[in-house]
Amino acid sequence: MVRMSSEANMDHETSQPGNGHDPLLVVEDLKTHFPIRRGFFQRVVGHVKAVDGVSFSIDPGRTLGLVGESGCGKTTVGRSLLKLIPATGGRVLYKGESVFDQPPQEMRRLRRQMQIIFQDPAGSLNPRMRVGRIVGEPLEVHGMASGDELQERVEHLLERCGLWKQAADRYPHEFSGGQRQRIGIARALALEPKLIVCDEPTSALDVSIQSQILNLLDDLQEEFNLSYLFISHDMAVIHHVCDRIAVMFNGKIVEEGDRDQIINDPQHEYTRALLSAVPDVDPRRVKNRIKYEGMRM
Amino acid sequence: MTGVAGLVILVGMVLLCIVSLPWTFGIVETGPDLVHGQRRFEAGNLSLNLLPPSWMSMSTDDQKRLDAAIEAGEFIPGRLLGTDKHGRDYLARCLVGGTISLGIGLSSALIAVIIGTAYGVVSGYYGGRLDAFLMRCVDVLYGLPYILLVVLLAVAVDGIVQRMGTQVSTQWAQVINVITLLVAIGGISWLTMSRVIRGQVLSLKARPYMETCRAIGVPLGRQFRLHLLPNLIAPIVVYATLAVPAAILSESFLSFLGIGVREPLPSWGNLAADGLNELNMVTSRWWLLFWPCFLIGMTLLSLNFLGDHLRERFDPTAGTA
Repeated sequence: MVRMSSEANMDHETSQPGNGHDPLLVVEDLKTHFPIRRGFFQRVVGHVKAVDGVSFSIDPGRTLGLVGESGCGKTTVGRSLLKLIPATGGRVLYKGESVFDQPPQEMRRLRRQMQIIFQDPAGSLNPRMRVGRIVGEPLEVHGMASGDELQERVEHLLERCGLWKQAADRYPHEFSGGQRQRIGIARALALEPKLIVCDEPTSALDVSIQSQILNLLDDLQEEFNLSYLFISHDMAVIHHVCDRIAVMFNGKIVEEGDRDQIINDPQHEYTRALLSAVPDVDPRRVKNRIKYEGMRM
Repeated sequence: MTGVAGLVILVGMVLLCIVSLPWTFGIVETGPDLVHGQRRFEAGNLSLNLLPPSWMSMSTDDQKRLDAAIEAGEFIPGRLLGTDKHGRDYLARCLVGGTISLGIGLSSALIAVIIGTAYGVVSGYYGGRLDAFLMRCVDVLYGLPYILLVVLLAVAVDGIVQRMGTQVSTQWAQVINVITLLVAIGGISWLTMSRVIRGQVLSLKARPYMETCRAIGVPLGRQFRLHLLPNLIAPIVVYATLAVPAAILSESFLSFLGIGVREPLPSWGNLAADGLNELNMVTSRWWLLFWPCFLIGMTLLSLNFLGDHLRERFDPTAGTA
């Protein structure tokens, strides 16, 4: 792919894999609390501590899986670190730069480095824009391409994500769920980011499509040296794609470790409970469900 | 298909009213005893009042009146749609009434759509305290009876016009009166619009694609233009097509009460109101009620067809599904 600006070039060089072990993204003690407002004057009467002191780091080209039951705050982590919702406290460092303290202009530059893929492939595409426009919008907005070059790059992105050139002239509703997710991935890739937050990218898809999308993400990671923060509640998916796994419960990370260590030798009681809750193909096999205090099920 | 028909009828009516303006506002000689001529829509001959349309059979009484008037060389108004109780050409009055009613309807709907959309988008998009403040303002305005507001506005403007005294000719006073009415109706009907749009913006804002916009760093103006507005087209169009007839009806209602368009200026509303008085058990002069009602009805119907059509046109998922 053609690089446009010298700035992008520099970013590219510093993030080569293997030049030291500087993590790409460091999250320190991230807190996101939502105020509960009541009454006529909207007084704050309390807080929902969706994320309450989460720390982790992601190395270049690696995938960190964030698992947990629904409502544990994993999606909020993804959105807070991209500054889509304001965080209450903590720091997020992208290559040593604090994401939360950037002036708007700098933030725009950082946004190019970090993208997000959403769970709902239908809702994440504007129904009134053609696919070419959707995928090309990031490039247009950041002034990275225009005219014929824009069209060329959009077509290239679509083809790279397993679609075809002509898809650019169609509207999102003309595609299946898996295809829409590919469009979403193509859009996220347009800015050539280094980090992609994948917010349950496969949970709205059926199993056969899931594996296609996971393989696509895998290939793209290799090709572009991407790092993923992979948010999911599906242990099988997490096991398939992640290098490291962080287990979240009630807004906190209870355990973090290498994939195999977490899956085979979980240390925390909650992790064991979560693993024991994974459904089995054979319904006759009696499993020992481990119950954990405060688990919602 | 119906959408095209609606558009054709609507545009046809608007064009007919506008094109006929030189004719309806043209000066006619109303007789040797009158010093100056009158405009066609206000020129009448009292001895020829309440004549039926020229293509209908006339009673011997009416025939006698007409013959006498022709013999005396009096002013004979056009009788294609009959004459009203002052002996004025009802066709000319319907056309002028159409200009005023359609003008008020379309422009106050436009005012409502513009103010309502802007207000609702700002309120819904920024949310929080600003939203609460803006919506409480709307609530307060909702609380005031709109008739009262319109009456107050009309009276206030009237007062100003009268203070200026002779500087304002009657024609300008009429124009000011119509504009006041238009602003008053437009200024009230954006309230519902802003609420509808705000709700829509709130639901759109929560869609993942709006979140993606922020993740990409799409500037605010572009977010409004390309992501919010296209998705608001459906409610805007639907509301606009409802707002036009509503405005025409409010105008009719206000004119009926005597606050709106005043004599000698006609509007479909006060023509219908006058026509209603002519319905009685002895002689039903139905044409005086029928024409304005028919025209209002056609307008509303064609607007609804047009609205339906536009909504489908703007929705890319329609047609293929």
